[in-house]
Amino acid sequence: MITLPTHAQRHWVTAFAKALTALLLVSYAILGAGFTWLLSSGSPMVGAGVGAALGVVMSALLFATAGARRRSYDLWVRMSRRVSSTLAAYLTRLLFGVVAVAGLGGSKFELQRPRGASTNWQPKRPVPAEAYGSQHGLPDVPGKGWVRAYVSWGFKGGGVWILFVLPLIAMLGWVQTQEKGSFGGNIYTLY
Amino acid sequence: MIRTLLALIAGALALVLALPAMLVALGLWIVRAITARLADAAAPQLVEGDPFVQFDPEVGWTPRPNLSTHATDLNGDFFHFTTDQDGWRGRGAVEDADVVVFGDSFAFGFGIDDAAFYGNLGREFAIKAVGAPGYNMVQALHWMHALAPKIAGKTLVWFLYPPNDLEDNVRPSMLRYRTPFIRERKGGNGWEKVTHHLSEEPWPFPSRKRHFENYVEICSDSDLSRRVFRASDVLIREAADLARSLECGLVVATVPELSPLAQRQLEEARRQPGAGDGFDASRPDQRIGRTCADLGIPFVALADELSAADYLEKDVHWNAEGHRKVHDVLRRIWTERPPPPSPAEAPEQAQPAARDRPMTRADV
Repeated sequence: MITLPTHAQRHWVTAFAKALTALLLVSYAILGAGFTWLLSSGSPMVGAGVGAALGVVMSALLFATAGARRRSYDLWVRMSRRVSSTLAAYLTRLLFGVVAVAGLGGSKFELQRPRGASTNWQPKRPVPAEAYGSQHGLPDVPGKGWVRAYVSWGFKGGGVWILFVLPLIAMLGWVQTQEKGSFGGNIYTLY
Repeated sequence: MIRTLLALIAGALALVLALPAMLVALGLWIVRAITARLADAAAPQLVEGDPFVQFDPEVGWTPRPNLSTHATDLNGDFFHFTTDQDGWRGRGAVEDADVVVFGDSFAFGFGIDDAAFYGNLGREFAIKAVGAPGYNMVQALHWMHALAPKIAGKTLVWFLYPPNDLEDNVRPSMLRYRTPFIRERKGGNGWEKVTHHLSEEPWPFPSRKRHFENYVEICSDSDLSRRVFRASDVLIREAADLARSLECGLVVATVPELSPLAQRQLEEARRQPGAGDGFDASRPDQRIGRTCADLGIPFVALADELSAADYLEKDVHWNAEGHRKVHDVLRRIWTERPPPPSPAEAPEQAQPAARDRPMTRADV
């Protein structure tokens, strides 16, 4: 997951301000050192110090008040969610592109009744009881994750090509926002 | 085989094309990871659930004594608070206080750290808060009686929060928590206080709607409105009589609902079909103010002192600025030192239930 919670508590907002301050400080220090080295205009250490100071000033401007911190946080969340959905859409297109290219090599689906056969129906072996509800006909092993089941399904089903889609699926899972769009109601609780 | 080969080539190309996207995602992930780590480190140890309050057979619940802990407000934000040996917030003991505040979560200071709590601001005079989240006026009045020997001669301030206090006075529970309440005796023969249903068992039925649907009705010309104001009259009158007998100054202060969170819910409730006919948001202040005037009790509408900016962003309670303003109001009250209420005519008090019979729906 690459996005921050939408409905954040105060300590998340504070943590965000600290994290961004640290990142601004480090990146400005590196930029400062890089510029002074490239331009040969002084010691890279001094450049790094000036850059770090600039980073601190910038974060002080961004996060001066609680309201400013909250606004910066909300802005970041909106931006990152938009980026997340764009990246997810882009990766989905790549993923389907791979599937489409692999599909050029033919399909395993038998859509026509074989010659001489009276039916295209085949007996289905029962799946293990613990696999009921599983999307791939095999039991899900708790704690083992979906990758093992996916790979096993690829080998057993004869679709080894699906392994080349795996990195894209993993990336898609990483960039997609897992957060649900709803949050708890105003339930007044004492304990 | 050909499919596998095609997938290998297409997959490799797709990975190259995905690289820029991954670099962008990496930047966002770094911010997310550091923020999450810092947020986890900042999260204090929470006391939630039963350790926060404890069951009390006479009043329903009380805050636990000797707490120094964190709790979360309605948005899940942490606040740190301490309670004394009796479970109350504020410096010192009740008997040492100059001003004793009674009420619900506003009196308790729900959602605010000790450092910003109105009862801990300034050293000019001592404030003790005798209140707990969810209390109705019956429970506040209970504590006035119970602490009578300790509060004699002091200035008492009663915070009333009309959006739920008024209705909770006549309901047997606050959500699922059983509360003492008052009801009219059959035949219009006065009011009685009911406590026999109090226990730790959750109340099986929702007593009132969760948001502001009934508050809209209370602010309108309705049967519910007339009933709850009659009940609050009885309770205020009883408090006035008690204050007079203890030679205490008594001030009633209504807490307005100005928080952005609640305003949204209130507007939603007003949009419900049939709701809000004759709605007047100032009705509780006008009605309670009139009762106080009749009883010779000073009345403060905190709506005149507070604004939406004095409330937490995602909770219905006050923020630090709100607490500072409330402290200023209390200082003003303490400086003026109101006299005990003047004698009232035709007292109508809530008496203990005559018999301990099971309640029926008609009773409540």
